[in-house]
Amino acid sequence: MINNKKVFILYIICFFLFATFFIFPKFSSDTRLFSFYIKEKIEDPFYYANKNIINFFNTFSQKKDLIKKNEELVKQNEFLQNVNSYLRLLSSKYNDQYKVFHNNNTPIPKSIGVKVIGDRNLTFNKSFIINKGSKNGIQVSNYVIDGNEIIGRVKAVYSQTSDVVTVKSLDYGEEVIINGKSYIVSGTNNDYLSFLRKKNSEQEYTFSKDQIAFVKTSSLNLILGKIDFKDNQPIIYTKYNYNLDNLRVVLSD
Amino acid sequence: MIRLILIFFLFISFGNFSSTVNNLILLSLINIAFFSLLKDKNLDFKDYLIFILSTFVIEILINVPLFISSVVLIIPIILFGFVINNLSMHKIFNSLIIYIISIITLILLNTQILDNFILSEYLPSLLILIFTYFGYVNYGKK
Repeated sequence: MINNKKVFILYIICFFLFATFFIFPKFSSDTRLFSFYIKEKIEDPFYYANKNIINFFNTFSQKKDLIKKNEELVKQNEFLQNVNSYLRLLSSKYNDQYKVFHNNNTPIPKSIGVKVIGDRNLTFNKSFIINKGSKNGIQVSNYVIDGNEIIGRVKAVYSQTSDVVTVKSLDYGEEVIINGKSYIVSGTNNDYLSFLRKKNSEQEYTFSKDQIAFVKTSSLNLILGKIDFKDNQPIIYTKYNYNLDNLRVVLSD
Repeated sequence: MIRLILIFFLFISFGNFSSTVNNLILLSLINIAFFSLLKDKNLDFKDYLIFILSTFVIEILINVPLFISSVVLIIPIILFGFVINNLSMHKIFNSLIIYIISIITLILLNTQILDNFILSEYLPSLLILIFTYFGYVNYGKK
């Protein structure tokens, strides 16, 4: 079957690599994140070529009326940008007022936009890789949000990539606030999170269906999901399908 | 060399298409891994390297413990290869066996495939079977 020394030596090397990665999960996680970083870098020229080819074919299919429409849209865009800058100016006034009353700036959390690399369908596991890492200020346990809804938390960080565990995952745990009371919830690998009870204690739940479960961070309240009941047990329903096109990571101060 | 190029392109294309195409990409990678081990009675160094590479890519893409296939799963596969290579079947049957065990492996990895199965979407996977057969026929020819 195997009459090759090289194969046997390679098997031994693989065995030690497997043992190392198994004993030290950090190395395994770093290798995976580094591979996704390389994957993203290799994908870039293909994206660029794809974009240019699509643009090239679009220019052939464009008509004059579309060009006119485009010019109108550019003008409208300029107008809206002016309105936007005016509104910003107005809001800065309120910022000053806030500063007078609270002695600090308006609590707007720092966040950065991220892109998902690899599987976006979450078919094989309930986690995904994003294209920003420690170099961009991301730290382990930072929240990943879509709008003001929590999608997940950063589980492992590499220099240019990070591993995000979604709220659906079994690995996800969180303290939520409902009606001013705090509860501990955990992911279930399904579309809902379940509440954890203390041992030998009968906790009474004072909330009702469709109430929103919040997670309180230092500067804002993020939405985790809606309350529902399954077999008379409270659960938090999350979205069935996530929109992973417009994610942001909330950076800790 | 063809397998190496294929692994490279499959690695970078995973995740950029629909879930069906992602599954087909994984099926191709699994098929390459099985083909490398089962195509010959004697395990060649290059084939083992390709097996390690393709399984490593799969493990990275779907978050499975790294090198587990190269160390643990390889043993039953080699034993199975010893069985099917001693039966002197027609090459089309060998290709079919590799194709079927690849599909079984993919389904074991993601059982949701059975729930959302649409035949028309998975028909292109027959191309994998055809290419495996041509791989068998042309193997060693220059």
